[in-house]
This record gives sequence, structure tokens and C-alpha cells, in this order.
Amino acid sequence: MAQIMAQPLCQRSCTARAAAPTGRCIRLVVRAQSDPVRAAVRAVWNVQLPVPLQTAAAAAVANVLLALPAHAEAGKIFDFNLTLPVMVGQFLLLMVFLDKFWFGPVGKVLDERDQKIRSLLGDSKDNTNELEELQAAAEKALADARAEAQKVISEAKAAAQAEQDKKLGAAKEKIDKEVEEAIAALEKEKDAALASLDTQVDQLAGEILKRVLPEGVKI
Amino acid sequence: MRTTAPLTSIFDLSEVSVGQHFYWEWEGYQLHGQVLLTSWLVFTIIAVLTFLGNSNLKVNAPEGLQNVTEYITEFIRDLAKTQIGEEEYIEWVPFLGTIFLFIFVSNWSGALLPWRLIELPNGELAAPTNDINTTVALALLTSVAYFYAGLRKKGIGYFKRYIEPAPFLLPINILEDFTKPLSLSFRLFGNILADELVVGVLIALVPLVVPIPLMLLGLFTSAIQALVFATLAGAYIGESLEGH
Repeated sequence: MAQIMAQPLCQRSCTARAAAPTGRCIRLVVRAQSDPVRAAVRAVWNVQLPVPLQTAAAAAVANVLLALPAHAEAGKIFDFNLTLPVMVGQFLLLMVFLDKFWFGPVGKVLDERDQKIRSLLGDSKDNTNELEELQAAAEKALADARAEAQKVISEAKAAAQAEQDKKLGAAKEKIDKEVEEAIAALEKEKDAALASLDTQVDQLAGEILKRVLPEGVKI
Repeated sequence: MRTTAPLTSIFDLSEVSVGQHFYWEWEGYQLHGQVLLTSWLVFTIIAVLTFLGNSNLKVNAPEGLQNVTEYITEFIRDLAKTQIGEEEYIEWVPFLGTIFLFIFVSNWSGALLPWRLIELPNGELAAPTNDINTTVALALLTSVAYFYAGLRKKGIGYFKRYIEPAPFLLPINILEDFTKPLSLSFRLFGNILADELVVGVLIALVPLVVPIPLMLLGLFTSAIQALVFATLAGAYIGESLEGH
């Protein structure tokens, strides 16, 4: 990379300094092949910069160099290497593992519990239906019982009425009979009395006639 | 710096080394050992929580850690449902949940565990999310995830969204595919690194009491960053799934 960059830069510096001897440029190219990085730095250095910028760059580089710990190699934050594919592999293994031992089984348990709660909820809804049925049945039973009681009561009332009527009839009959008997007896007595009265009247009339009529007169 | 012994140890604790890594070599490739070590501890914590919480799952009366795992699961499900939608969220729960759990446990391990008591030859142990490799890995996975989601649902018609709502927005829409992982990874990386630096610098300046509020703030930010990452990942997936 550095090599590729170094050459055009070198050529540019050569063309920029048209007056410079060509030998210098060749020497640079040779260097670029032997030590690409240093050549690149040299090539960049050879680019003509305004003087204040050059000093500024030098100061900046010096500061950076001073800031770095002397013994440590330069820090590499963006250092991509085999760690990346290894991490990908590890992650995929972890995913398979977790799918098998965590998200699969636990998910199943969660679904089962969900199912169970749902079915329980459905059952309790059915229960309300059942409750209504029971209530209706109870009301019906109550109504039936009431009707039956009514029937029993009315039957009892009717029976009592019939009994009463019967008793009343019997009593009436008895009284009637007694009255009739009494009337018959009275009638008989009357007849007897009348009969006796007749005889008495006859006697009395004979008596009267005896007394009134002279003796020896016959009717 | 010549100070008394306890103070030196505090300064050792507060030493912040940015960009220093504990390199491992594998087949000629370099690895950041400190990141892998801490990520393994994070995995262990998550695995232990998984086994303790989910070894004896009960439907009727959850006990102990099952409440925690259920709470997290429900939280992730809600997040996925709001971001992705009622129909398709369930298959993205493991992805979003793993993102959330891994980032959350990583961040809090960085904030709560005294990693620096263990000395490394170079670099220092810290939250795995403090390394750009981790965050870029997660962000790239998110990109892959939302492309996968969109392509699986709509096939080639997925690319129609690049010229919507108007064709002249094509460059911006394409740019978005690059800015999404970039912003995701840099947000997480920057927040965690900055939090660690601020706490480190404050401990170096005033070792007692003063850094505590910032540490608490760090805990808060760590949790928020995990939530933000998971929410944005869900939002991106939901965006590529939504019908036009």
C-alpha cells in the first residue's frame, strides 16, 4: 500500500521540482522499494507544503510521539483479525444452544401456561351459562312446587267442601225426616184427637139430646 | 510515580490501555486472546444460568431462577413482537435473545467483574464488547439476518425495496445497508470503550467515591446498549419483512 502511494508522490515531487536532479528521484524510488513505509513518509515530506503548515505538522507529530508510551507498541483500536470470524462462530453456537435450552423450552412452558389460562377462562365462562341454567331450573322447580301446592290446596278445599256438603245434606235429611216424623205423629195425634173428639162429640150430643129431648123420644 | 503501596495498586487497577491486545497465534493468524477469554466466561455465565433456570421447568408454579429466564424470554418476545410483527416474530426470538443476552452479560461483566486483577503480558481483560471485532461480528450477523429474512420471504422481489419509495433513492437505500452495521457496531463499541475509559481516568484522578456514580451510569448505559442493539436488529429484520 505504502509502496503504491510512494511512487506517484515521488514522481509528483520530482515534477514539482523540475530543476532538481533526476538522480534524487531515482534514489527515492529505490528506497520506496526497500522500505515502503519510510519512503512514504519521506515522499509525503517531500511534498511542498507552506512553511507554517510544515511546522504545525512537525509539532503535531512530535506531540503524538511524546504522548505515546515509549515502550508500548502503537495502540490499535481498529485491529481486525481472526477474532471476528471466531466471534461469529461462537455467537452462532451460543444461539443454537440457547434456542435448544432456553428460548425453546421456556417458550413452550409460556405457551402451555397461556393455553391453560385460556381454557380455564373459557371454562369459567361456561360456568356462568351453567349457573343460569341452574337458576332457571330452580325457578321452574319453584313454580312447579307452587302450582302443586295450589293444586293440593284447591283439592283439599274441594274435598272439605264436599264433606261439608255431605254432612250438611245428611243433617238436613235427618232433620227433614225428624220433622216429617213429627208432622206424621202430629197428624196421627190430630186424627186420634179428632176421632176421640168425634166420639166425645157424639157422647156430648147424646147427652145433650137426652137432656133436651124428653125421655122416650128416639131419633 | 512514587506513592504508598495501596495507592500504587489502585493506580495499577485504574491503568487503561487502549488498543493493546494479548495476541494469540493460530495457523499464522492473529487472535485477540483477552476478548476470547472474557467471551468464554460470558458464555459460561449464560450457560450456568440456562441450566440452573431451565433444568426443572414447571408450568403451574415456577420457582427460583425459572422466573428470571421466563421474564427474559417474555421480554425478548415482546421486543420481537413489537419490532417484527405478530406473524413472524417467534422464529427470530432466539437470534434477538442471544444478541441481547450476550451483549448484556458482556457489558455487565466488564462493569462489575474485577478483570484487571488478572494480569496479562500485554493488553487487559475487559468486556468482550469493548473490542471492535466482537461488535462488528454481531453487526454483520444482523445484516446477514435481515437479508436472509427478506430474501426468504420475498425471493428476488426483496430488492424492489431499493427503488422504493422512488428510484432516485437507490443510492441512499444501498448506502443504508452499509451504515446499518457500521452504526450498530460503532455505537456499541464506542459506548462500552468510552465508559471504561471514563471510569478508568476518574479512578486514576480520584480513586475513592467519586467514580461510583459514573460506574452506576456505566451499568445503566451497558443495559441500554444491549437493549438498543437487540431492538435495532429486530427493527431491521422487521423492516425487510414488511410487505409493500
